[in-house]
Amino acid sequence: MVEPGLIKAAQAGDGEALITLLRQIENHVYRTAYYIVNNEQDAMDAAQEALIRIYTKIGTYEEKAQFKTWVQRIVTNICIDKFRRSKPTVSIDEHDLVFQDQHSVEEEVMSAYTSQDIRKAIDKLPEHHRAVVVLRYLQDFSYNEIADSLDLPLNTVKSYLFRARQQLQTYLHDYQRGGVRG
Amino acid sequence: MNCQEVMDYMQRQLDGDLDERETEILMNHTRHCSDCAAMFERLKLLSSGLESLPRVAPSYSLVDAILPKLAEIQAAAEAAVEPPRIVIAGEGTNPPRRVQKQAGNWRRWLPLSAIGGTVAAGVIIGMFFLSNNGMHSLRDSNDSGLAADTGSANASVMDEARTNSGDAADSSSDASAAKENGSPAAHDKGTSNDKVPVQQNMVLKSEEGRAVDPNGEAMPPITSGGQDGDAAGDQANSPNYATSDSGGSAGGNAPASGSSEGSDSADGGQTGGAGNAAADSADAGQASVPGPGNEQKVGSLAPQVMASPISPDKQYQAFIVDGDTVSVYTVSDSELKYQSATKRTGIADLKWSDDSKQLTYTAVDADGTKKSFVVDPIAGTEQVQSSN
Repeated sequence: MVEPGLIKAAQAGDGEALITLLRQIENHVYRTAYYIVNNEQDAMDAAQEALIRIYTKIGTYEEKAQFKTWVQRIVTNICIDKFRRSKPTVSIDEHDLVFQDQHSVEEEVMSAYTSQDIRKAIDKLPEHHRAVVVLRYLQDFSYNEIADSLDLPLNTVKSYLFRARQQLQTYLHDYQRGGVRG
Repeated sequence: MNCQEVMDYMQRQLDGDLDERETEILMNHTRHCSDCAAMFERLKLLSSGLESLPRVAPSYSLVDAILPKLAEIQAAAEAAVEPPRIVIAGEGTNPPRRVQKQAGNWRRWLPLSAIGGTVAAGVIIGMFFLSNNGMHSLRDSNDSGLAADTGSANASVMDEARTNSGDAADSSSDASAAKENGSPAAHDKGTSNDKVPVQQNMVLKSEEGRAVDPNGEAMPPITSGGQDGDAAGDQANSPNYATSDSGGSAGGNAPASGSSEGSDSADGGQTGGAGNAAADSADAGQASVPGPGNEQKVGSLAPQVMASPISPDKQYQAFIVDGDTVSVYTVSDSELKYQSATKRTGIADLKWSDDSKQLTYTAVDADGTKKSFVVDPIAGTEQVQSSN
């Protein structure tokens, strides 16, 4: 995603390189923010804040971590901490995650979910579950990369991702069956 | 294999995490279990929906939007390198290089430790510790690198306060950043407690080497932190305290660490206390502002009396400077409102009246008796209250 040489130059105090680097990552930073806070304006604010933090902290980045996970860690932290809204999120543990749906196959009308419906469903997830889903699908991160970014154990990442998908599936399925759209 | 176990396979299949044998098991199950087959279909539908979510981009360039702010930060960082007293958040050219240098050292050592097995590794890490410290002090006495060193440590905390004005939770992420910043020695431990020694170390070091400002004019600009009593507020204060401390008092290392305990309780009352290391370092810095002798008195005689109390209306904060002078600053813009003209010993018991109009304190007057003094910060005057 970003050339190591550019990172080194930026760390060595090359201001131009640092700005170039920020330009290369700004879309990635914004995309994560957008899907976590689910609101364009807040996403702009969070992404800018993340970029400023990356600018001031570039000297603390170490090669032992992947640059992209370091960047995503910064942006997800900002989104989760600062833009945490007091909106009700359904606690995933309260739900019976075993098969809730006992309807038979012939009732199912399979049609693709709209991205708007998916976004709404993502927004209902608890923050860390949401962050895991966003990193998996919007940044194409592996389990390990997600674990590094969110500072979570690998098993927790898997369990969050699996539960989140199960939950999303339930929301979306209920939407469709109830005919509630948009 | 039951349906619940198959569920896990379905999930992993979505991430391409199944091997052939596992895939076979999954397929066998879904062929015979219509519920699982339907669930798998829905999950695949969801997963492909998630994959095709629009890759949104910002409607204008975020980097362009923050360029002015970045220039500001840069300028502040450069300014901070010149007069080393007040360090604003920054990406100065020095700190990153310094970090680089240390990282390079670390890497050079690493292969050796890998060869030598655990015992040897321990020894080498120990040596690294020593050699690194040695390098630090060498550098510190050699050049102006000291400023940069403190700069990098403070910058991380300060930056946090600046960019993130209200969140305790944020400190977790910044803990690691501070750790990286501080010294490579912290790396191999990796617990958040490391922050404490690293931060204190920085404070101490800055005391050792800094030019002393005799009248302590670099008093801390007090941010709204004390008033809010939240953790971020504490952190906002910490770099200021640390820097002003090093500018203002000549004190050796002992006061900072030795007296921090006494003022911990004081600080707790003032800000609501926050159990993080940044706050601790703020305490240490704050504690040494008043100077070693008095601090202990304040701590032991009346622990509830704060060493640097803020007035009840949050307008003013009083400090004991160099142990013999009382100063009052405005909280909002750090303007000096009052500074005692006569130097006195044994200053203690700084206390604000409830209406914030008067600061009282006790001290030994020129004639050797202990007296109470009343400061009016608005008029900038001081009177002897009584001599009992």
